[in-house]
Amino acid sequence: MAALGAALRADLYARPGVGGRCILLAIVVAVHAPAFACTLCHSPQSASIRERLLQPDLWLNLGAILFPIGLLVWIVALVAHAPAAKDR
Amino acid sequence: MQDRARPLLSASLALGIGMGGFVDGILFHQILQFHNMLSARIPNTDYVGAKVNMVWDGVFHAGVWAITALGILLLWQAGRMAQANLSGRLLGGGLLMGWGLFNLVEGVIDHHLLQLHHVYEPLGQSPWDYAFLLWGLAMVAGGWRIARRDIRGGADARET
Repeated sequence: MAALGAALRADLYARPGVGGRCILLAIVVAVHAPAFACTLCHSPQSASIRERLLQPDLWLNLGAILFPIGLLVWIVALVAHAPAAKDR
Repeated sequence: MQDRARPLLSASLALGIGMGGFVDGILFHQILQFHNMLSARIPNTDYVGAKVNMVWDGVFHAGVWAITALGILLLWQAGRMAQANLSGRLLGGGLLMGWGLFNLVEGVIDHHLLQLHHVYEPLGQSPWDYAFLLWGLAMVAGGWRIARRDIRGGADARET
C-alpha cells in the first residue's frame, strides 16, 4: 500500500496534469479514509472533542464569547439610532 | 453628534470592529497562535484542547463576521441617504475608532474580567494585555482626532 501511494505521488508530482488529477479524484472517491479531525466525525478523537465541548460550561463559554460581541453591536446601534440632544 | 454623520459613522464603526476582530483571530489565534478563545480555561497544549479552542475560535469568528455584515449593510444604507456625510475622514476615523473599540471591549472583558484568554497565553496576564488596551485606546483617540470635525458637524454632506 505504501509502495502504491509512493508510486501515485511520484506520478502526481512528475505529471501534474489531467491524469494526475483524475487519479487523485479516484483516490478521494474510492478509498476515502475516515476523517479524524472534524467536529462531527465518528472517531475516538472527535468523540473526545465533543465530550469536552458539551460539558456543563458550554452555555457559560458561549455566553462569555458572545457577550463582548453583543456589547459592540449595542454600541453601533446606539451611534446609529440614539437621539442626539444637540441636534434636536 | 450630527445626524448626518450617524449613518457612515455607525457603518465604519461596525466595519472597524469587524476588522479588529479578524486581525485578532487571524494574527493572534491562527498565525502566531499566541492564544485561542478559551485558552486560559481550556489549555490548548494537547490535541483535544487545541481542537476545542478551535471550535470556540469559530464561534468568535462567526460573531465578528456578523458585525462585518452589519457594517456592510449600514454602509450601503448610508450611501443611499442624500443627506448623509460621506467624507473620507469620517470613514477612516470611524474605522480606527471601531478597531480600537474592539480592542478595548474585548480586552477588558475577555482578558481582564472573564479571563478567557490573554494576549500571550504562556505568560498569563502580562504587560501584553495592557499593551493591547493601550493600542485600542490610541486607535480610538486617533480615529476621533481624524473624524471629530465631521462628527461634530463641521463638514458638508457628500464631501469626499
